[in-house]
Amino acid sequence: MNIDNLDKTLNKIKIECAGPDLNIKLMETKKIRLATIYLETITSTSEMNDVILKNISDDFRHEIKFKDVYNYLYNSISCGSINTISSYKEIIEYLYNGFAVVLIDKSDKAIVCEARATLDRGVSTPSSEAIIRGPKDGFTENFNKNLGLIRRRIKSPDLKVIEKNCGRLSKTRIGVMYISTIADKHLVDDIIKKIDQIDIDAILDSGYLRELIIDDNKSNFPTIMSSERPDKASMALLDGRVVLIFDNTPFVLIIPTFFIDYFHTPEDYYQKSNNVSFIRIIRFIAFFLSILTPAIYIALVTHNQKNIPTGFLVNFASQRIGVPFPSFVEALIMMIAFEILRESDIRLPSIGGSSVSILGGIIIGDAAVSAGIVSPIMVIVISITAISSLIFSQVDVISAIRTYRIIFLIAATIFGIYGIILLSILLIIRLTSLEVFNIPFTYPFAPFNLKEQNDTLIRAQRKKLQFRNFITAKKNIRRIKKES
Amino acid sequence: MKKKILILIILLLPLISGCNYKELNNLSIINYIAIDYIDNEYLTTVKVLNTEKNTDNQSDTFNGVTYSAKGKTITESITNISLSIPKKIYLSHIELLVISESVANNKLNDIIDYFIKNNEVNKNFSVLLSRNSSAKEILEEKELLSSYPYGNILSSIENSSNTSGISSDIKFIDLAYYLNTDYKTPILTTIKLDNDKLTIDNLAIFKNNKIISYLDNQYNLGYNFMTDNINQAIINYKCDNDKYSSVRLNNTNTIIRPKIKNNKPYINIYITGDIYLIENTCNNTNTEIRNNTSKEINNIISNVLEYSKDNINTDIFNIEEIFYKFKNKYYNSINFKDKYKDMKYKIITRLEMR
Repeated sequence: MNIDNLDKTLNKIKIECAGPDLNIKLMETKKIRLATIYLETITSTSEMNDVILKNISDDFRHEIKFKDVYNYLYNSISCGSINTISSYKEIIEYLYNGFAVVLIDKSDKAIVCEARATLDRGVSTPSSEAIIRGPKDGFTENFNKNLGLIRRRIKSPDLKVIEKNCGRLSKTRIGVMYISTIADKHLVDDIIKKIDQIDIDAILDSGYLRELIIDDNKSNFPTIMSSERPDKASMALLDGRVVLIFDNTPFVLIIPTFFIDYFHTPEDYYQKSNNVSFIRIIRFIAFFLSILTPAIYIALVTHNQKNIPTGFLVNFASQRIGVPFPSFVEALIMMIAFEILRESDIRLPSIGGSSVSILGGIIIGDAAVSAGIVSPIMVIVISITAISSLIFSQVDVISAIRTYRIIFLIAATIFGIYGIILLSILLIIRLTSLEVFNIPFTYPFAPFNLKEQNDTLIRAQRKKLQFRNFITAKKNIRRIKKES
Repeated sequence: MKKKILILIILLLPLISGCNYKELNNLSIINYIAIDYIDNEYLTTVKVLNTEKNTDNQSDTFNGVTYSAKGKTITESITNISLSIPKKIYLSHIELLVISESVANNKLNDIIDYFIKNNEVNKNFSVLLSRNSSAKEILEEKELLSSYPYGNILSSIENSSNTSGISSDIKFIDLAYYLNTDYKTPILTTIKLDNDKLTIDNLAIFKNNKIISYLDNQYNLGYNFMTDNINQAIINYKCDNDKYSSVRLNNTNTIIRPKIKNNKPYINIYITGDIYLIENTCNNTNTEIRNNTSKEINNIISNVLEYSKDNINTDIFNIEEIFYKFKNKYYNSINFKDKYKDMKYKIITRLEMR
């Protein structure tokens, strides 16, 4: 539609964008009529008043004598991000992106200048991935800030960002970031192709895209990691991976993600390597404990009583006296009780949090035992399980572990130790067959790569970590240049 | 198709796993079992571990309860016991089997057979022979009843066989193996009731499924030396007129090398070990201590060897097996059991002072 008739266009906008926040300022002289349109809620008032409107009204006060109003205004408005548009559709688009639109009568071009309000919080400590030693800044809900946090760490023109808009209604900005001298261009192209194919009404969080971008979504284990930490994202970029940053969410996506990544934290790389190796092994033990402990306990007390020492057996048996439920039900009650407790602790405002934990602790830990509903050993088993799973900062991993734990528990109830072993084999088959963008999830274990092992279960000294990830980094494989 | 296979696998799984679900509080865990043979009937006594919480006194002991019943077969007697026990009898945690002399002489093979074929039973429990009293009496002895989890006669056998070498801990699986092998002589530790106290008594020696002799306690150490069943031993020797010294032997090792001399079996017995001085009342020098200890070990071993050759004429140290393995040609050409009496031997000790 043509926009050279000011009244017509204004009327149309008034009807279409009707709302309390639509603001139209009309300025008229004998010769010139122009209107500044903006949405109050998403524009910064001071920016509008002090810069754009002031500019225009100053020009009016001095009586614009030029013939070409459009050109004059375009040059005189002191706004960095200024653009020319010529269609009605674009007006609406810019309007909802926080721009001010200046319409001039009898001109087929309109001026848009950015006056976006900062509707987000400042950079703060990431709440979901806390570390003790290391940078404390986290991503925010602002695309530009997120981009800036990474640019601050990697100051090179090689860091490329391809911006995409996704979502019919939300028009969410998605930035595909990679380092052109390291990353595999095919992977980047694949990801962009996948994003282009998505046709959804809105993308409100990176979690939406994560599910849409993967073909095989059956795995409980998250095959794409999300993170709140700019240092983690920068590490991934330096490894040749692709990082997707989003507007409106502090969680960026890291593609590809390997199974081993969930056992590493950025802090691992800021500390002495030997101490880190120890804690990494502890994490592995905790992983298996949190999946297998209830299952192994149930298998031992319901099927494989032969395999525990007599002393233990007598101990277990004497604790089970008077417990009315089968061991499986007992375990399930405790697990559900713990999950409810955990969930309520997260959802509840921090004022009520302590009361929940005290109440839950007393009820589950003490009262349930003395009331004879559960045996004390079951409390220990579930506590070990729960605490072990909390060692992981990623919520997705904790959820996956919880799911597997229940599946293993059922297998142990029906088949005993045999069932646990069978299911472990199935789980390993499942994990090793996972692929994201044709990159194996369990690398560097399967397929095995010996050179890569210095940064998996253990972490070697910084000097020995000479290479980037062999699968993701295609060029510039050396991290530390050889001394000549 | 994939789903069909999955369903098939799930349906077949219980067949493989056995599906033997049993709750822990429905089990009677039996840890001691005693078998007598009276009037052509088995009298089986079991001790059930008490898993009830002891709320009256705060002690942690788990008092056991004994039950006994008769039957034509062991299975029948155990089935009869289950009439008086409210829970399922669970035999996987047997620690001790006591058999009476009459069982040992008449029904040993049947009992071995029962326990071997019962797949629920673990095979690594100790076997004791009750010499003067019935097996039931041994099991009902207070010392065995109120013992768990504290030590009892069982742990004293284990301890003395481990640390001083004066007793032997015979496991069921070894007994079963020895009984079914031609060139091995089964033995059993005996237990006796002495003034209401359980004590370890002489070793019983079997031949053709019958007890032929009891080895005196003084020969126990020698027996254990010969069978390399010793890790640590205490040797006492006379060093002066009426003065005695003690040394501890650690890391002892016995190797028997078979030889043929004049068409007669001949063995070299090599004993190695470390001497740790415990009591030196005569202020002997190191060489004297070593010589005296060697002499004492020589004495101990030759005593038991002479006894086995002259008194019972039975190869209780499984020397026959050594000849069978290493001198097979010679072994096949003779009847070793006849030649055992003529066997010569030489004891070589290599001890080191530490």
